[in-house]
Amino acid sequence: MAPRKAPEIMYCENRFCAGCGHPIFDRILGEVLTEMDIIEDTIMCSDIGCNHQFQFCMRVDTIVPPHGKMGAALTAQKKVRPDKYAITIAGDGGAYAIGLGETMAAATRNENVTFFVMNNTVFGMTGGQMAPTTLIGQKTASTPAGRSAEANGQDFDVVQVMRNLDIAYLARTSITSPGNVAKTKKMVRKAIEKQRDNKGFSLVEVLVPCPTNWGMTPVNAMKHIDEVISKRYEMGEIIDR
Amino acid sequence: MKKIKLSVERCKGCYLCVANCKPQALSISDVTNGKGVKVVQVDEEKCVQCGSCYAMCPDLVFEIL
Repeated sequence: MAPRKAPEIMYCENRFCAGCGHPIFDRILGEVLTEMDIIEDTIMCSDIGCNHQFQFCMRVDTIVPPHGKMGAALTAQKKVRPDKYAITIAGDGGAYAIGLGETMAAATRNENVTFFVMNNTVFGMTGGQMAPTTLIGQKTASTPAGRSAEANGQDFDVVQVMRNLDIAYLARTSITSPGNVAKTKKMVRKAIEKQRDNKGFSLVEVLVPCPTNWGMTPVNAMKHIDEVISKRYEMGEIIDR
Repeated sequence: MKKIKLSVERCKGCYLCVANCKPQALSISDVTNGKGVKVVQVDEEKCVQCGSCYAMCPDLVFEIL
């Protein structure tokens, strides 16, 4: 069997909490960029939030727009440098709450950019407050009794909203097991290939655990995704054009 | 011959590797690293180099040789 070691693009230890799902995804993206040999041709767009810490452990060019404005920044970036891949690692808070307008506008224009959204159902960096993706009944720092649809609004599935749009690629996946990690890697590659082939907008949502803010052990947080969150949110490839 | 290399100083103690190791080659040792975390250890006799630990580790501890 072929040797497996972290790609050289990952140059030092990450700063994430123990058991966080973000660095697993960052390594997957690092592997794909390395295998496609496009590290030098990629400009990442960072969101604000836990996800932005990829830039401290990954050797890749990065721009940092205001919080949530990745849709606008990627659009501009792709127009100015069409020869470079425009990719973002965003959080659910940035892409679906603060930056929902920019994300949806980029999707409706079918911009040739790639979104990877890390959905951990909370605002992780600020202490685990409720996000649009927080499940009904889920306890967070700002909904200590559990989220209720009457008081806090319904849980918001942006992937379902996007499925009727004319975009190139839309998928939801998780990184809860080695099998799911392999599936995620294939989806990541496919999403970037859509941009390479000028097919248009691609978004892959990855369900990641936040053991710190969920108050769970890392292993139980992974089980929680498999048993609860992935039942609420439809998994798999939804659009592939 | 060594099958697997561990950089235990990176380990943060999430033990996702132990939970996903089907041959049960990985376990929690009594050794602590600089972070004060009890690091993982590997039984090379049981290891089948499946790479599950590499896939699940957020902290790049594992290298399958």
